[in-house]
Amino acid sequence: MEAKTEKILIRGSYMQITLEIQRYDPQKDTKVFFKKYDIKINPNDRLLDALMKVKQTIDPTLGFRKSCAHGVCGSDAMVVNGVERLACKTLIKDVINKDGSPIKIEPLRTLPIQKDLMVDQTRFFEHYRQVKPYFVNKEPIDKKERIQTQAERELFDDGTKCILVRPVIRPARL
Amino acid sequence: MNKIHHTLQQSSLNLTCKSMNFIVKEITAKNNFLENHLIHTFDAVIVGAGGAGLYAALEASQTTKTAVISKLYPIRSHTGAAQGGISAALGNIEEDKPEWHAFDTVKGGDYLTDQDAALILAEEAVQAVYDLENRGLPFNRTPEGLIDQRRFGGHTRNFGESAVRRACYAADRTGHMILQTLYQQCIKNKVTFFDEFHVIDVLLEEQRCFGVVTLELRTGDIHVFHSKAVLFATGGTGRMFRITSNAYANTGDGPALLLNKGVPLEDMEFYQFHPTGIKGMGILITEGVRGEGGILRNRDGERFMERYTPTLLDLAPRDIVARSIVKEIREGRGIKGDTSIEDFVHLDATHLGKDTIEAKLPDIADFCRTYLGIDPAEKPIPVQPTAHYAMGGIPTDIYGRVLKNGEGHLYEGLYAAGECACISVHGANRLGTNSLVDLIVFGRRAGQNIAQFVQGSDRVPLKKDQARYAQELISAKTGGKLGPNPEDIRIELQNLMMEKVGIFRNKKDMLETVERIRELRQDYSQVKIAHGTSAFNTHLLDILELGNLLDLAYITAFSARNRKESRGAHSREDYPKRNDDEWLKHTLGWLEEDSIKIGYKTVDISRWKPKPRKY
Repeated sequence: MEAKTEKILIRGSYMQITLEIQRYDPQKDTKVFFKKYDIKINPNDRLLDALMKVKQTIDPTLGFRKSCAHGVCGSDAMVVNGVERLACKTLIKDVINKDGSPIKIEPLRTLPIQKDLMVDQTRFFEHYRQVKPYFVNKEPIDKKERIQTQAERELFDDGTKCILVRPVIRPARL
Repeated sequence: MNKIHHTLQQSSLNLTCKSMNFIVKEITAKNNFLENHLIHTFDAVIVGAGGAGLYAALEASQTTKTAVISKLYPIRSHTGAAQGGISAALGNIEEDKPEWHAFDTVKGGDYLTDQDAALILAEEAVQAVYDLENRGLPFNRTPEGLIDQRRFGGHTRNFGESAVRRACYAADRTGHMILQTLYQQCIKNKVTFFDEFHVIDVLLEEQRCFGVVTLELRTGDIHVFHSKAVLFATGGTGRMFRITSNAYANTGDGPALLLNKGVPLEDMEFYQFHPTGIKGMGILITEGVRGEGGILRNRDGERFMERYTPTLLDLAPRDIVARSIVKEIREGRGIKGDTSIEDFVHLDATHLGKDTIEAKLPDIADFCRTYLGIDPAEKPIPVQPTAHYAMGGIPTDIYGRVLKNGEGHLYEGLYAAGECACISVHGANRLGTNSLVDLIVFGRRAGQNIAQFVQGSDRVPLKKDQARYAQELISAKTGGKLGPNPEDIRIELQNLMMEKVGIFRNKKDMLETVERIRELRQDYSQVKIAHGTSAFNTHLLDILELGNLLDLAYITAFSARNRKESRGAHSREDYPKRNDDEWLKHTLGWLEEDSIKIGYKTVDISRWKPKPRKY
């Protein structure tokens, strides 16, 4: 759902929020800075919807990555009020500050900033390649599956869930 | 198109983009473009890094120099969002045959499916699943250690007797596992990736394709990829609708580009709405929920599918279930009961129990908690149909080669596979899980054919103005006076398509839509990016994508208006019956200036005669 599908939402449930977003354009700026944006939004909307609203109605130059919009592709990881999150898996109501201060949004830490909320993942994917992240075995492709018990399958289940976001402390999804 | 400002050098391509606001990177020295790596030479270039693109790359790269170009990081592709399963008649749980799978695919597609292609799909699905498993894909297992299988909509035993367990799955993350496995295998095979490159032109002259031109998002530079063959695997077009399960990236870049280069698109009127998207948001709730026993209920708690499809019940094909939901809502039996477009029904999985849900549908449980604040083991899920899948697309043969017309003439070196292609294995309505089968079976076939083609073909030399179309496109959008607001155009387009070219259609609504989109396309020609620099200019990308959506929505609405019958996902209130005498044929549409020229292509019905579609 886009941020501007206002007419299908209930008007009364809108609220005013302020996002404080870290900005940086390598072709213009010498250092990062913060800028505040006031928007009206439904508290049940995603933080990604709020960022889209800023981009679509206030400043189209705001840079961030996005794709699936429901927490499976890993594009929109960022730091929200000091915590790593996926913007599309974060509802506004869960990140509103009780003291009324703005929701602070920064790019992921420990990776070089490319523009605004976009960070350079090149080294992460280089490291990913270095660990040989593929199934290694010498048997040729067969005309049948290989037998694996449910217990054996369960052993490595956690590792299969990773969506390669990079900054996570927890192993799978943010 | 606006006057362009590029300056061509005598001895080299000038790949700069000069405009008021873009930072200009001067490249003037002789052959400087080579030192700047702005021209890349490969045997095969694959555009798109989802399931079809990666499988094709895996095959082609074994013998040819292959590059994969994606506007995303490959692992972010929307194949990764596919949930419920990939069908193959393995027969691990109960008797099954590829022939039954093929028949279900044909009947599910309301007999617009090409039957020769459906048989290939079903027969090769079996080995395709073993291939994936042998390469490490972690499928769920039976107690005996075989690949587990579950039920899915429209998949039956013995030509429609009852639902059959055919869908192989990895929890509700089957697409994620396929994408990860294929990306890993491509790394193993040393495929070259160009991440975050957006395709803006295809080099196509005298029916011969020899490369693509792209925009590097990191720098704003234009890169030419010179190759012997190009495969488009750019995925879906769902972002032309307001409520969709599709990613922001699903803007149909491949089909839109080819449409603008004179290539026809096939069966664009057939667009699938998945019955169960999260109310208001469109986020997909897999059919696997119903495959595991979930039930759709109206405001009276009634299992309403009993009235529509008494044999398959909730596991009827998606077009039928989506229409049934809309009918319930229109007749006042939605949960709100107000017959409004915001009304919804319940998907009840509470009787499955917490253990089954957590083991077999963990992501669904997670989405429900995150976006709805409910536990599906305790409360029913509020759902409504969501724009999901394009059956139509770039017309191809069974080797992924792109067709020029309805007579079977082919382009040379030009391929398409996956959702952006139309073979047609899905006809007028795709069955659940068959999208993943399509990616793997036909991605592989295209990759193999490309490898053969490249061995025996010469390279078409580049000309010096090869990047001109791309330069003009960017220049037109980055220089000069600010035009209309692109967001207004996008919102109106998505609302129009949702409300007037959705599940039920009629002549008046579609006429209005075609006329209005024609105007929106004119408005769009004046759109400029507000300002900004060339590095990571996501606003420019948004605008280029909007142009693609407009063109695809235009041909979708036009083709829908043209087809005067109801078949599969195309339901007309003014022509409610299927009409095989006049309309058992594929539509082909060509973009000609401001209009669409319509032609037709024969459907292969060599195996099964069309019959009324009952479930």
